[in-house]
Amino acid sequence: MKCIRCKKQAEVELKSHNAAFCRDCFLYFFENQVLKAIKSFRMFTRKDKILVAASGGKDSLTLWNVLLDLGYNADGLFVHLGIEGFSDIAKGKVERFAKERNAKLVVVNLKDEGIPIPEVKKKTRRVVCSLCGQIKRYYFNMVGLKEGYDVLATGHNLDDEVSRLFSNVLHWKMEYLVDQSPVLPSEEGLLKKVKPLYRVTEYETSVYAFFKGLDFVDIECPYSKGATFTMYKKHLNQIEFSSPGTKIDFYQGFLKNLKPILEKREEKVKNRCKICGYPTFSDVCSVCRLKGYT
Amino acid sequence: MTVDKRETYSFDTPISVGKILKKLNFLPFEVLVIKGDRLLTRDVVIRGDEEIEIRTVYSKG
Repeated sequence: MKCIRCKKQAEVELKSHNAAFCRDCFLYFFENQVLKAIKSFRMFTRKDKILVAASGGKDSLTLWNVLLDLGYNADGLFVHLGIEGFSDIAKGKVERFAKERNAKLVVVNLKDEGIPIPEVKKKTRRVVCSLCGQIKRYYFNMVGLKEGYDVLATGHNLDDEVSRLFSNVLHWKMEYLVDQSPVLPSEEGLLKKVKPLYRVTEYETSVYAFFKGLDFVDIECPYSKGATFTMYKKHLNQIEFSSPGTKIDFYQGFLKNLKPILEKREEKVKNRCKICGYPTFSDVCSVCRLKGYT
Repeated sequence: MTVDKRETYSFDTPISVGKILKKLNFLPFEVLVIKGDRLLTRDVVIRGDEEIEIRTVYSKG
């Protein structure tokens, strides 16, 4: 198989783009996809101060790496979840990444905040992945605002977005569909959030990480076994294999056709948490409730 | 020829990467197929006792 750009031996085949690329041309393609996402949604400019949510996984480190390579002003934020045999390894990977690139890294330790995930898990009957995500988003937002960042960037890729969309449509979670977008604009108390990898798949992100030699966490979070989205991703992969391009069509179709309708009926958060000021539907936000405030 | 994914599989050669993935029930975009420091596409034919690594690409967060 030959590269469609330079005719060298291809290393990557992308059926959804009807293309095959050698290493250099793939990296060019990948960076272009990210730039296209950033520019078409006006995510940020080179003047903006960007905070990358860095978990130590391939997606977040890929995002941070590509933003630095493209000349953006991107720092990292790592939230130490306090999960034994996982969080310390992840922290080590992120710290090494930052050190090698002379990039700034901010670390929040949930033990210091009184809500390490293993303790949270004991206190609740809710699915811990959902609570963990909620806590991480809380600190991404709080740190970002406190440290004066213009935008928070997360490493969600096309597969993440499509599986989430698939799940939200299957269960008609209208309140989540409203918020599903590559960009969530800043509001009072909420930092602007962007997903610059939304056009690239999990496979393409993995290829980028491999070509760039990124050293990322390759072990599974002990609490994430059997996550529903993983099951959806597998089903969606079968559909994508039979009909290449379905994932991006599904997601782009949602953004073009359904999202504008949903935005018209969006309910805005009116309250602020009386403890920390975070936007919430109730008097006290869920993170402060976990900390014991009522 | 050997495929290593914490487990090791052997196949009669010559055999294409695409056929190996099919035998192992992987879709082409669910894995990286690695030989040395290079990625292999589905059409590449593995010969003799060549070894390749198959690495899954799912997020593990």
